[in-house]
Amino acid sequence: MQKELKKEETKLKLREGMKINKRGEIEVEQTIKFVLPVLAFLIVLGFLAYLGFKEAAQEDICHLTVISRGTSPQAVQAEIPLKCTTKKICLTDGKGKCDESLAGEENLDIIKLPKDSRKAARIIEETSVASMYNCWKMMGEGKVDIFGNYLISRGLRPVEGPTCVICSRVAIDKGISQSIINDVNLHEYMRSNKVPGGDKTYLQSFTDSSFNTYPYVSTKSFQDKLNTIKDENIEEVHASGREIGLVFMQIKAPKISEAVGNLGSDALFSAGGAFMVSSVKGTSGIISLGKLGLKSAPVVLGGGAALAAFSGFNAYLGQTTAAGYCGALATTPLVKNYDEEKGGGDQGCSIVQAVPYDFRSINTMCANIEGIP
Amino acid sequence: MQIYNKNIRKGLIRDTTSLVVAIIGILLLLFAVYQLYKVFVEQDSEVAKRTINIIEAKINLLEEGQTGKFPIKGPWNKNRKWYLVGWGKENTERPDKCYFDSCICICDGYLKESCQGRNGFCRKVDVKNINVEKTLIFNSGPGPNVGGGGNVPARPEQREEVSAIEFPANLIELQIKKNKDSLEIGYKK
Repeated sequence: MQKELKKEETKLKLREGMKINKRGEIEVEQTIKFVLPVLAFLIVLGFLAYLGFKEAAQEDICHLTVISRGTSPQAVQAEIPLKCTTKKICLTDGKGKCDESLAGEENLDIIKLPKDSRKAARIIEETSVASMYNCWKMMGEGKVDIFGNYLISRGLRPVEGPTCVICSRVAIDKGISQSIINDVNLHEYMRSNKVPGGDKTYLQSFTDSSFNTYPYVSTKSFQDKLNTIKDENIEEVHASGREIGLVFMQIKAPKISEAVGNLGSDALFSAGGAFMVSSVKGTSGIISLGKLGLKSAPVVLGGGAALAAFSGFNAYLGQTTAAGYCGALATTPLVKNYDEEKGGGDQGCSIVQAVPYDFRSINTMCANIEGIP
Repeated sequence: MQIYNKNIRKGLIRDTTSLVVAIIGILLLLFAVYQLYKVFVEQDSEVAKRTINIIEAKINLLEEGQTGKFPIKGPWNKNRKWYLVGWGKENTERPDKCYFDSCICICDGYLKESCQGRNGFCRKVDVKNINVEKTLIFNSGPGPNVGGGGNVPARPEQREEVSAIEFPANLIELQIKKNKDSLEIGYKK
């Protein structure tokens, strides 16, 4: 009897011992279950950061703040700043770092161009067009009311002037020869190259799928409304400039049909309101939306002669294209009705284009600039 | 007794591990919340910090006698104006942040007090004097508090010329001339 009791006792102890051991195993298992996923997450995060996740994250954050601002209730919208950081890109032969334009700037994206002239020209095209397209997509393709509500909530009238975001700055180092720049053909690149990961070309993506040609823009058609920049100081100050800014601008305009009408048949228009305007190769121009507010005002084509100071660089600048959208903007009900005093309404024009990165050119178009320089 | 001690040890290890993992998780969560918070607030301060860094870098690249001109976008807020100001090393009015050196600052005011706080971003410059172009600033606000209640009339708009550059809503062109003993800062807008 006692032997049996002792046996039972030993069995119990053994069982307890086993339980203890199992508990030990479970502990290890639990530890592995908790700690390993955390470690794996950190490793993946680090890997993505190494691959340039930060850059993609910046664009995503910008897009998020654009959509948030355009669609949030008015009370919240006033507190949402646009978290859009200007990207700085330097195209170089490997020796320079675009010191004339981007000296002292942080987080430069330096792209070394190959020695082959044609390949280098292709990379300049790819970088310029991709920057413009990314800007357009990031800002909601011009169909989101980014500034209207925000400006009203700040006590500003949306019709004071266009508000802009400088999406990126592209500088070409002085070491890049003029022959390479002369080889650049932005128009053809946009017409014949597809957007990465997509079926449409850049031209089709900006406008309507059916468009695959460019309009010819004659400055004569704007003769009455030309507002050429005649400031002589531009030549003195910016003679050595080799930098463009990809600028997104938007203005609310109740009489949008007039603004659109001013572009006439010289621009491509799709039924949805998207358009593309291409300046004649060899001349430079920028489009200023001007004051499309209470009174109808023309869309003006500025620049031209004054920008001849960009000798050499002008050939590149002269090919820059403007893409835009005029029509109804996605906005909150608060400002859907146009008010004579406050502005608002849901009609507006958005445009993205490359302009010389100097304060006069940009301030001609932009009354307010948002984002992070 | 041995088994009892073993049980306590195992329990401690298990509980400690859980505690450590929980702390790591909470810290990661707090970090993520803080990053998200930074995304949506304090943008003016961030712009001010970046702008002063750029200006400092541009100044450091200038040789003696050289003039640099460059477009710049500074912080702007309708409710709070930001200024670029500068003090020479012999100017007793300079902010404490500058210690014994000449410095340039971007602050949400043009007085020394504005630059002392968290909304003042200063950088030292290796020159004796700093001359910032004078700007006409318009001040307005409520009248003085005379006590006793009642309506206090608003102070009439006053003009004041100060050595400070007010940042507008768009770009300005900063013009910086570096001399042997001084820095001249001007602008166009």
